[in-house]
Amino acid sequence: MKNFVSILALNFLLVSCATITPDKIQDSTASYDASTPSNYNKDNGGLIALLDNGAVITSSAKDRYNKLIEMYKIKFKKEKAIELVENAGISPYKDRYGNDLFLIDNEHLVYFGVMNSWLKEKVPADNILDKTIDKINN
Amino acid sequence: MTELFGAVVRLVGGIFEAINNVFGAKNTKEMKERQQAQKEVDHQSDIEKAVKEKDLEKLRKHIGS
Repeated sequence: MKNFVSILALNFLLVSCATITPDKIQDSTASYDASTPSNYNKDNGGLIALLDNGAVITSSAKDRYNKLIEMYKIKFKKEKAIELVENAGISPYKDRYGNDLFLIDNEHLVYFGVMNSWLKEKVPADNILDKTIDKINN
Repeated sequence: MTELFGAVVRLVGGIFEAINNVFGAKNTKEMKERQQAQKEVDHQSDIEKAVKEKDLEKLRKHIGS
């Protein structure tokens, strides 16, 4: 009887441990951005500064943003009901040193972060089928 | 004796069914999808909060590659 109770308890423990909860998305540190002008620290993840109307980003960050739109355009539209196009929310920006940078508005900065988290979590990009269905529907 | 044995077997079966109902349900596809969706909502809220608070370092981690 004692053995039986032990086995039952062990079974209960194992079944309890089998519950898998996904980890919280964790971003470790700001990444190195080679396209950062020499006036700034390059370990900035492509984000130079925050302004009232948005954020100043580097050309590499802008390219990554556009790449993310290309990868997740349909998934984003399905989940957020917002259609993103290339350079959405981005405008050219010249800083006080005369460097050509880009300004991304606050709304699209959030979208950038959301899509970037998908990439880090290895969420599959839109596939051919998604793209075909989207084309038919539009 | 046989009745007692049958009762014990039914009791054990009932316990396992209850365990499965409680813990097994957490691993269903719907449950996982809900957890994933909640995680994404939390993440977006975190980014929005960082934008509102102008937390440059936090945003750099969110935006960086």
